[in-house]
Amino acid sequence: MLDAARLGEFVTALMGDHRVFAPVRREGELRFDRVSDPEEVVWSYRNTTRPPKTVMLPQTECLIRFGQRLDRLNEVQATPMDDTPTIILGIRPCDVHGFLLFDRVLGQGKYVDPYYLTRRNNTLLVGMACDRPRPTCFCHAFGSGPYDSEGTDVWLRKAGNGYLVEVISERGRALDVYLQGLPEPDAEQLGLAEETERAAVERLSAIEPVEGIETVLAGLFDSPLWAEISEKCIGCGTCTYNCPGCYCFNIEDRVLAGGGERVRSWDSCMYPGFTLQASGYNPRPDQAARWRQRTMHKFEYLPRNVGLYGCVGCGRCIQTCPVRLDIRQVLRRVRQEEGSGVEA
Amino acid sequence: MSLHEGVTSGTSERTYGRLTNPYVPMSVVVRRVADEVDDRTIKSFDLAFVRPEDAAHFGFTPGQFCELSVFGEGEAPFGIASSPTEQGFVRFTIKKAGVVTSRLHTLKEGDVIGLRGPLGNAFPIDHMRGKDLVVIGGGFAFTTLRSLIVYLLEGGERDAYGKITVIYGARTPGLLMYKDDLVAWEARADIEVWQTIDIEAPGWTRKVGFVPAVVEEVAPSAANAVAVICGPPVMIRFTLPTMIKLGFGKEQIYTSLENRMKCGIGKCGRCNVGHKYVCVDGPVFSMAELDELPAEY
Repeated sequence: MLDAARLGEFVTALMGDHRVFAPVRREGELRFDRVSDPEEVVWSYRNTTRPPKTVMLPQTECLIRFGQRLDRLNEVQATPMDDTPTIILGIRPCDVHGFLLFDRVLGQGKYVDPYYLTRRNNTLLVGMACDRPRPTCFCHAFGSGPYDSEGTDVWLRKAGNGYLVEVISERGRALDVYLQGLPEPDAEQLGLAEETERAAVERLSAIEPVEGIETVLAGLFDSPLWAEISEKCIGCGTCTYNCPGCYCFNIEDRVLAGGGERVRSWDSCMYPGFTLQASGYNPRPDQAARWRQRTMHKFEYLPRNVGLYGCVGCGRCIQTCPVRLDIRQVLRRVRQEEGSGVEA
Repeated sequence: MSLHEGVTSGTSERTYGRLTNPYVPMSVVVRRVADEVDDRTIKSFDLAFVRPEDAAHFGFTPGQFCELSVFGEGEAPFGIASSPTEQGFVRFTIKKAGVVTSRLHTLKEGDVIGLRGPLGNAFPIDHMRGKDLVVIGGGFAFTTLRSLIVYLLEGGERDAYGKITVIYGARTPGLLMYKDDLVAWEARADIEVWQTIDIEAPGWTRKVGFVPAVVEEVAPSAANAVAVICGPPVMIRFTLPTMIKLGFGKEQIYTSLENRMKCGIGKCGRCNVGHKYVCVDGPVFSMAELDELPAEY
């Protein structure tokens, strides 16, 4: 049992030998950022505007550096891998599942992404149960839920004024040292924890399970559905930037004094330039094709290729879409096509 | 950190040991630049590895591609036009089209650029053994086909393959690439070459007409044969029915796709056709495989 009074002490201890990221208020926004003062950690929050994927897959990062001259040997230097011991504190189950997806896409396969994997291997996830799910939350549609500790290393659950602490993974035992001497929770605290969990689960909105949607989608590539769905989309890409499951990126060169660097930055399938070819031809020529790609990638291709959905139900895209497109409604609309006679 | 040195991932219990970094290009030097067509929009570049160990480790199969980078301009994918049997250089034939290719076209002998690869799958060479081969190309899309043909002819195992028929078309005689190779192949008895241009031109003594028509006229046998077709989408669309008419099954016909690409290693998420990625699952697909995928290319 970690009492509220000891939270600052706990964070200070973690900061002693880790870089700690946690929800903090910066520039008018609640977001996962590097903690410089234990007092700035926001413990009572619903979720951040943007997901903590920035910690493991920065919005922009330099992959290699190179010298300027072309007429001599260019020594290309890879950016050193970032192996700083890191903790993401207070991450919610939805965002943890985003990393579980990244692990399969970026961390596995014929090639692995060494920049991602090095960070990932040196980062511990101190997850926190989600005690006040939002109306837009639907992690439970994926078989997860606000109290799903899967993928975390250490797990915190609110119990009255403090938190129950549980080491979940083998890697999480590395944090045992900070947890020694904590008092056992008493019956009243355990009762409060249960009550909080029950209240959280009661807040969840009704939604159909997502499972099986991939088989419906497989038959909908040529459906007029996509034009209908994308009609009011303005192609801003906010949904993909705020998505803990979106990892697609661009690679570009940047020229600097005396050389330059090759940078990787988030990209979005909602933009025409994502697939525009040098000839001017674009295999995804309109927003309908791009909406189809976003939906198919998350709910058909990824489950088929790596066994996980590309959506975790965090609801950020629903909250931040400027024209109020709702992925849950898209999934319901897809379900309506089930058995409508459109064949694969 | 040197070019291809792996990376040790710190002190974590789950250290993965040395990870190789697939984003780091090898340095290659331009050995030769040659115009391929008379409007000077297509050039071939013969590249040699700066580091001997890179040269020693680089092995590929026809049909594969590489990412070439001009530092400061960016990277783009190109099919390998030389054959593994051609030692000492790797050739790329590049049409001037965008930022990277325009910069590539300014390269001179001695310039150093970057190369990552080989990437992607390859033509099904093993599957071609003991079979006749029909190679059909149009315009600029003959690069990896050249690699394939040279490999089959010069790989020291010509007898392992049956008859080789090549049908190659371009709008004008001046737009046919690899003219020296075409002349040399025409002089050989173990390969049949049909060159065609769209409309008659002074001094032209070979075929005149679109590729599908010439395919129909030449009528290569589908029995125990494999066909590879690369060209503009419109050429492929009209050649396909002709091939079917000649008795080719869709599983006997292969092509190579070219979607916009960045990473080349299946991570950046843009070159997919349905659930397949052109960079790692392709670029070579059979028409039967493409039938199972949406027409997103």
